[in-house]
Amino acid sequence: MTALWWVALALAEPAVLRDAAEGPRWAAAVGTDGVGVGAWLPSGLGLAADVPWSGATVGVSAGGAWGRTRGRGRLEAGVAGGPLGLLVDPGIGLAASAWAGGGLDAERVDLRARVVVPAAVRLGPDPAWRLPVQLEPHLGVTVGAVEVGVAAALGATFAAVQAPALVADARLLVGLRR
Amino acid sequence: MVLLALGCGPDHAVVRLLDADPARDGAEGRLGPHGVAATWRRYPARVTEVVHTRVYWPVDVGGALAVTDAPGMLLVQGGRVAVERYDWLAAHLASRGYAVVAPDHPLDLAFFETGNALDAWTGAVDDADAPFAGLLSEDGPAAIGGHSLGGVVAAIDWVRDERFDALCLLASYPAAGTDVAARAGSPVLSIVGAEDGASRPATVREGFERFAEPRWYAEVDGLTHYGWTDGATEAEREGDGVPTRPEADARADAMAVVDTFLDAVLTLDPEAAARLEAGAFSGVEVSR
Repeated sequence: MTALWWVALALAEPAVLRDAAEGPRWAAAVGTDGVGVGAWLPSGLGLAADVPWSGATVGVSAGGAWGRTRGRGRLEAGVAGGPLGLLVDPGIGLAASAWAGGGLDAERVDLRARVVVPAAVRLGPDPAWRLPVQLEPHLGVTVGAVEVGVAAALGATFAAVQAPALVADARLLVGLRR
Repeated sequence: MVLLALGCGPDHAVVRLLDADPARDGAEGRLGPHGVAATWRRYPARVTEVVHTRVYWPVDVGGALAVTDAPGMLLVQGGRVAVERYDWLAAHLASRGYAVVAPDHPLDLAFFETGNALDAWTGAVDDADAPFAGLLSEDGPAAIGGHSLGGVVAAIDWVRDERFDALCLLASYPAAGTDVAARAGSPVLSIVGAEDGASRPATVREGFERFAEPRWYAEVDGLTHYGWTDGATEAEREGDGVPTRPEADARADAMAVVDTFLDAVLTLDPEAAARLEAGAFSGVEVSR
């Protein structure tokens, strides 16, 4: 069993860390929802930042990811959470992400899928919450120390006093493995 | 710095869509005397997301608010139709003293995020920094409407949110699962072009029959599905009916009914109510 602990300077969800749960030294992602970068310290602690194109939020989150590999099969899970700054209608919130999934992990190719719940709440006099549930397939190809991956997210966001809304994002990831 | 640029950057500039002209009488179907300004605003949704929203409001010759408060219209875009393609319609309403709020949706498909419209409305009403601040109020008269797919979503939101006093469907009808009976007593206008090739009048009429009174169904001579929008593409025209008269004429007749409906149910104009009750409109067949 491997463990990766990190502290994330992230927005509502450090998506780049989910894609890079294998533990590269650094990773960068560009997606339809925003951009993200992450870097890991030798101790296993890591930092990451995500910026949504909307500029709606900014936050800090901390958490961990765990993985187990058996043959070519792999299971993984993670959690993250922390304070969230809301910029459009200024306020403070909390973000909490959890994910779990698995897939095939070959020498140069990995194919995984995970279920992700990147929840968030708004605190204060005008409280609100969101609870997205999304499926994320991820395909990665490793050449030397470099992993290039593509990931997508599809699901629904449940929110207070709202009808469910579609989640549909895609991102390209480039990472440097240890 | 990037965060600051993205999160706190200036909104889109205010554009003047129409200059004020006191000579315009604003009779039903015709432009009103006010000028019209429009801008894009960003309103929060689902805690961490943003709804880009185009807002239109009446202005005077100098660009200041032409009215102190305005009845509102929340307008939901049709499928794959950009919000700006309804500028003409929103400008028409704003020239007559209405404020129009038109939210954007991912891929211009309103069913992806059906709550965007209600979040946009809340944002516009509460937007103290906007040039139209104070024009709309939480308990002020307001209607919700939409074109085509936007009407389907508007009907869902109308059922869920009693801030809207009336529903205005343009070439549209409610989805089968929408419990329209829950808003029985709230006025409904369903208006469609006789040459609509996408939302066929017979289908629209069938959907209209599900609404309780007070309700009005209107069929506009010569108007097509994309006659409600500017900039129809070749592909859109190919899948639509064929207009049988100039689009401007069909639109004017259609808007005469829309204006009369909104004046009757939102501003409680007795003359408009009488005209609506009489149901005699040029180029439009109106029935209950």
